Parts: sequence; structure tokens; C-alpha cells
Amino acid sequence: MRRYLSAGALGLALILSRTAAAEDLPVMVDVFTASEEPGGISPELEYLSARLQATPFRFNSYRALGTASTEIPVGSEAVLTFDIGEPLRVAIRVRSIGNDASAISVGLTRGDIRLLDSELELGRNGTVLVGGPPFGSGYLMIAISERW
Amino acid sequence: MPVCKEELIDLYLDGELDPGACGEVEEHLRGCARCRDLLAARKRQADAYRGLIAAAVEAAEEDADSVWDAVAEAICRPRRIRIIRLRVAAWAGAAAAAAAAAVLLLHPGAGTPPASSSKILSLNSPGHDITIYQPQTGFTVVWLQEQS
Repeated sequence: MRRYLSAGALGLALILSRTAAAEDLPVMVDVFTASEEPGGISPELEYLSARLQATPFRFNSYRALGTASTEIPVGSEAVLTFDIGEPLRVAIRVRSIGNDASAISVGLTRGDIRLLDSELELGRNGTVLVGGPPFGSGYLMIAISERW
Repeated sequence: MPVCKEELIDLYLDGELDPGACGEVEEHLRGCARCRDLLAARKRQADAYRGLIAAAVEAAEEDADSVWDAVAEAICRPRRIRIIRLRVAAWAGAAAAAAAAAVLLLHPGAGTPPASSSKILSLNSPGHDITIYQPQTGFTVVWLQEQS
């Protein structure tokens, strides 16, 4: 009997620990530049390569500028700052975490310029890529992913 | 066209220039890498819209009522598909939902990545035209292009 109670307690502890972990959203942000110049793709962006090639927004080279991972509790905001010659601020607020998607707010600021404010549902293991602002000879890209 | 004129690139791409002006633009393009890159980017964006609309229309044929209503409201309103100005948050949500529905209807088993769809609920990006593209489940592109 004691053995069953111990197993039950252990199971309950595992369930509770997973439930607690689900209150934090693991997020990864990659900032990179895309251009028509030759150069290939930075190794840390390989996970995006196939996805990017499936879009009309494919380029000859993708060069990483910065990456950051964090875990954001529900109701909290994380601000990630990247130095890309000027500060790029990526502010992410987690509103709720669901089974298939998490509701988040995203704010992007480049220098003093507000690039984007968005409310979105980030799919489980999904990526939302924001791109287009000119950067050097190419474009600035910001990939926001639920980390996997 | 001795200097770079972005509006002429747009008119050239739309086939709205007379033969003389068209020749001037082509001559300028031969000597201006910046404008060639701009033209290539605009072509990619136009392709994206065509793909989005084609997918949505095809999906509408299968599920005529719900999808087509959203697509017609969200996408077919602009006379020229090259530029979509998102000024109302709900507009972006409708476009993203329609695109996601179209993609899912057309490719219900496309790939088996452990990812679920993301949804754009609202977007605000002052001074930018916005394209939303969802080539596959779990990957959404938000493309910002500075308004000329």
C-alpha cells in the first residue's frame, strides 16, 4: 500500500511540476538580415532555412545578428534588446498559454522608431517572422518562436 | 530616369508606363543595383499576393461560404493587389485567418512538424504596408514595407 501511495505522490508531483512549467512560455528570438548578396545561411538559422525557402521572401543569404531565449510567465513582459548598430527592442507580453497556442503581445522598436505592435496567438512550436525593414543592403528579420 | 524613383519602379512593375518611360526605367535598372533589388523585392511581394489569393480562391471553391466571405472582404477590396494598407486591426485578423484556412484546406497533411498554427489578431505598423503570409502550419510571415 505504501508503495502505491509513494507512486501516486510521485505521479502527482510530476503532474504539478508540468502544470507549473506550463505557466511560463519558452520563447526564442532570432534577429538576422536577409539579402541578395551571396553568403548562405548562418548555422543558427538553419532551422528556418526550409521554411524560408517555401515563401516568396527567399533570399541568397541570411546572416544572424543576435539570438535570445527566455521563459516568460503569464501576465509578464520580457524585453529583449539587440545591438544591431542601434538598439532593437523586442517586447513580448504573455497573456495566456493554451494547449495549441499562446496569446502574446509583441512590440518592436528600432532606435526611437516603433516598428510594430501586434496581438497574436503563437502556435505551439510555431514561428512568427517579422521582416521587411531595410537593413544594409538587405532587410531586417525578426523570428519569434516558441522554443523547441 | 537619371535618379532613383521608387514610384516609377512600381508603375513599371504594374505595366503602367508608356514605352518611352519604360525604356528609361530599364536603362536605369541596368546601372542601378539598388533599384534592381527594389524591383526584385516588389516582384516577390506581388507573387506572394498572387499565391495568397490563388490559394484562398481554390479553398473557397471547396468551402465556398465561410472562407470566401472572409477572403473577399479582406483581400479583394484593393484595386491593385500590390499594396494592402492595414489600418484596422480586425482586417489583419481576417486576412490571416483566411490565409490560414486556405492553406489548411489545401494542404491538410502538409508535412508533419510538431507545430500548430499562429494567428495574427491585430497589427499596427505606422508607415508600412503589411503582407501576411502563412506558407505552412506553424510558420507565419509578417512583411513590412515602407510606404512610399
